[in-house]
Order: sequence, then structure tokens, then C-alpha cells
Amino acid sequence: MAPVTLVPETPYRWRLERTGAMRVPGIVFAAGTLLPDAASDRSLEQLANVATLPGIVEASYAMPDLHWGYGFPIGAVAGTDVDSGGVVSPGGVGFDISCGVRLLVSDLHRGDIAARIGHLMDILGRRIPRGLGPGAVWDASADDLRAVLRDGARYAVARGFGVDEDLAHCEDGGALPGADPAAIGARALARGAHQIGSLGAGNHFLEVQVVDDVLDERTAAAFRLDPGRVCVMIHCGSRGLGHQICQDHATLMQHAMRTYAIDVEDPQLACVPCDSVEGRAYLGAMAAAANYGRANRQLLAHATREAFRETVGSPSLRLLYDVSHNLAKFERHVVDGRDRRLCVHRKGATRALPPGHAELPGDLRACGQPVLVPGSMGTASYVLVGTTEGGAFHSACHGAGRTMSRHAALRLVRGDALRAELERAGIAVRAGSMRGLAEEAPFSYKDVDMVVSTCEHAGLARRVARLVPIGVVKG
Amino acid sequence: MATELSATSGHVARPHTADVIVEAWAPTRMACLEELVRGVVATFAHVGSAQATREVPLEVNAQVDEDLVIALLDDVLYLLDADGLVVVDVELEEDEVDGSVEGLFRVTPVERVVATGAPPKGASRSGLSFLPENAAWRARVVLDV
Repeated sequence: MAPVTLVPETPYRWRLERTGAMRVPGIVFAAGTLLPDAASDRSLEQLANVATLPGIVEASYAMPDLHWGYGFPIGAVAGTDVDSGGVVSPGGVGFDISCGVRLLVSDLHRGDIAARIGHLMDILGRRIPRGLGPGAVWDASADDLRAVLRDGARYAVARGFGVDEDLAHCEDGGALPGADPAAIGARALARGAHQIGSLGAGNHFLEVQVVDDVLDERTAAAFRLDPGRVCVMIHCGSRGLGHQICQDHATLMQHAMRTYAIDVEDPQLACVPCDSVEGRAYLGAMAAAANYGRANRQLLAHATREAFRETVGSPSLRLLYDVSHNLAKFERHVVDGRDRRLCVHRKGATRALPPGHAELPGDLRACGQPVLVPGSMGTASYVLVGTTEGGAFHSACHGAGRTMSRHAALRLVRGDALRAELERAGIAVRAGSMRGLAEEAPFSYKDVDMVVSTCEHAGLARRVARLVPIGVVKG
Repeated sequence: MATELSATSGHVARPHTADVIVEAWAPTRMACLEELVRGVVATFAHVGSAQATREVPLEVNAQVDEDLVIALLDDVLYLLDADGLVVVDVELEEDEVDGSVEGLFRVTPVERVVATGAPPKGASRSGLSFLPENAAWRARVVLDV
């Protein structure tokens, strides 16, 4: 791949011109200061590779939190034309299928729980399974697992782990259609059997947050986000089940690509036509994993409600929204004046539906879809909302975006020192491992304020509220 | 960098923006893969002097070396997620006729090791290599963390 060159189109939009095998250009939504450092981050080269995928339309898009991944960069969006041989690539979804975020909004303000936050965090620390190996909120049976794969959060709610109102505020009503549990291998099922209702590790977390700033008063009021409001943000995915599905189907496609005369620039871009035996199998398994991910977050929300009930009485914790940022979905978009069925891959990117979209529940439709952006630990997270103009098939960023390796973070801070620093800043931390904590040090990430501001300037989504943590549970 | 170095064999974890790169080297193919397994486990657990409580047999039939590496590391992550077992050591043997790999993992329950970081979600094919180099073997893999 030749060196990549970016041409500015606006201060917040850059064009990666077509070269070599690229079928479309790349488009990067970023302020100049957020562009990746070519010396240490090869994400632009990866974005150019994505632009070579068969059937890709418009452009390979990069969000402001773009960073170096494997195959696809993190923070990328690619739509392929399903009815013209467009492909699906497990690498365009990632190992953690339906990794995503949900935000629960309480009827409490900071002062209501200030005296009890330590106790609340102790109880959350005990109730939220995380870290290495199996262990979950729910001791699910094999029948439960099969039902979760089909019906996602809907099944969890039917079993008493939530209320119907939760489902209206989940992407796809809590269950992605088209799930095919038969397309999932035995190993993936075994890895997921005892993890429904667990955080995992890495950058996944459960945070008790308070609204620190309101940037769009009208939308914030509709979302019930006012200054000091206590919220809970949960960030996790489909655990070992999703990871294994990605690996299994990527391996199958590695060999199946020859059948379809597909050649890719990077083996992790392995792909097949959506409308092929292998493509349908992956999409069916991926949908089932997405349902597992939604049920996983539903179970963790249930455990959180129980912890709040035990420590701060019986407050309401209403689900504002639950949305994935690692997924491939069939969506209709107008491309070159023609309405087409696309397979939109979002790897580290959040769908951001505009106001009035039919898929939004009635109480959110006039506003647009809440876009949940978890920041780095100890800094800030954001609630954004989809805009009418949108961009990148109505997508926005998914986080702050990492700039520093885990190794570099470990060289700069010890976990116990970081924990003490966070505690001094008023953030109660319940961590599974001190090294894991240090790896997620806030300075390892881009400035989330700058990332979401860029999303707004680029027209991808608009800022609604800024939230800061007062308690963190991490693996 | 987490490193277990010697002149002839070892492993090292190298920086990657969001993930981790593990490299391993040894005089033979199987010894190199054994080092790679140790290097991957070292990214999330300090096995230290933890004694293996049991042995788990393994068998991999792969068409190409990349598949062999992926399958082997998949086994390590499967034992962790499905059975709560951490690999503290590994022995591999290759059938020279059909290329299949057999061996065993020595494992211990996850409670008996010190968690030192996030376990990988999977091993990527992007940047994966397993090749002879200067009369030895060298492997490199990017782990999604």
C-alpha cells in the first residue's frame, strides 16, 4: 500500500484519495489535532484497505476517535451494497460483537447519594462479575442460552430481569432479527455458557456518573438529564461467545474467499458476499451474539438496580438507551440517488439515527437517537443525539479513542497510584486488577471533549450532556 | 514490556495502540509455539510458581501455519472462558507425516494465579507470522484486548 495522503475538505473532514485497489475514497471526520500519528498508528493505511472491499459504496469512513486496529481500524464505518455482491467481514465488526453501551437514568441527584456512594460501590463491586474466566449474574441453563441467542434482552426481561419499558429503549427492541443459533459452534456456546451478566475486562466498565454539564437543554430535558442527575453507564459486549464466533467465521471465510475470487489487503479483512452460504451463516451467528450482548447488558442493569435498591432505597433507574458500537446491520440508504440495501459495518462507531426515524421509540423520536459515548476512565462521558444531516450512514464516534499503548501507560503510572489519584478526585474505584486499571489510565486516550466536539462540528451528532464518574467498577 | 528472554528462546509483549503484540522465538517450530502460548498467558496472568492441577490434552489439525497458531491460542482462551483454567505450561509435538500437532496444556484454576491485565478476546490474523529465521523459528501475533 502506497503512503496515504489526506486532503482537507473542511476543518473537520478529510479525504483519502483513491489509490491502487481502493474502490472508493476514504473520509476522515476529525479536527487536525485528532488525526493519527503516522509514525505510530497505521489506521489511515487500514482505512485505505477497507476501501478495497467488494461492493463498498460512498467511502470508507473514519470517526474522530479513529485509531489503529487490526484489519479494520477502530472507529470505522463501511457500507456494502448487498444486492450487488457486497461483502460482510467479521473483521469489520470485531471480536466483541455488539460491544456497546447502555445508560440508566435515576431519579436521584448527587446529594441524594453522596453519603452512601462508598457503600453503593462496595455492593456493585460484589454484584458485578468481571475479570478473568467464567462467572455471571445469571446461572443460565442451556435452554436459557438458546433463548437469549434468539431473543436477546427480550428474553432477559421475560425472565424478570427488567421491565418492558427497557426494551423500547434498546436498539432493535433488544433483539436483532435474523439470529441463527445453529450457525454457532460448540466452542463459542461453551465460552458463553456462564458469562451472561458479566463485564469482562479491558476498557469495559460500569460507572456511576452525574450530569456535569448540559449542552442542549431541550433534548437533555427530554432525556431527563439535568445537572447533578445520577446515571449509570454500562459498557461491555458479548464476551467469549462473540469472540469465538468472530474467530470461527473469519477462519472459514479465509478459505472461502477463493470461491468468490476475493483478495483482500489484510487477512483480518476476510469477507464473503452477504448473500452467500458463508455470509448468511456469519450474519446469523453475529445476530445471535448481538442478542447475547444485549441480554448481557440487561442482566448487568438488573444487578445494578438491585444494588441501588439495597443501598439507596428503591429509586427508578430508567433506561435511556442501549446501543452497540461493533456490529454489521442491514440498512436502507440512498446512494448515488438510488435507495439501496446496505450492510453497514460499524467497528468502534455508533449508529446515530436522526430525529423522526421510525426505529426510535415514541418518546425519543422527536429528538433523535441518544448516542452514548463512554470516555476514558475518570474523565467524562457524553450523551449525543443523532442529527438530520448525519453522515457516514448516520454514524458517530464510540469513545475517546486510544492513542497510547497499554505498555506505555504501564510505564507512566502504577495502578495503585492511579486509584489513589481517582479517589482524591472523588471517584470511588472498584478494580479487578491494578495493572488492568493502569492500562486504562485516562492519559492513554484522546481528549473526549475534543472528539465529541468534532462529531458536532462535522454534523455527525450533537452534544446533549456531559457526564462525569463518581464511581467506577472495572475488570 | 513483559519479557522472558534467553539467547535461544523466549517471548516478549510489544506495544500496539489498543491491543498487544506478542512475539516468541525458539530453535524449533514447536518450542516457538510453546513460547508463544506462555507469552500470551503472560499478558493477563502471572502464573509464577502456580502448580498445574491437571493436564488437558490438545490436538490441532490445521491446513496452514496461520490456522495452527490461531487454533492453539483459541484453545488457551477457551480453557479460560469455558472452564476457568489458566495454562501454566504447554508441551507440543508435531507429526512429521501429516503435520498435525498434539500435546498437552498444564493448567490451574484461575483463582490460583494473579490477574495482571485484561485477557485477550482473540488473536488477529492481521500481522500474524510464524516463520523460520536464522536457523530458529519466530512467531508474532496481535491480540485484541
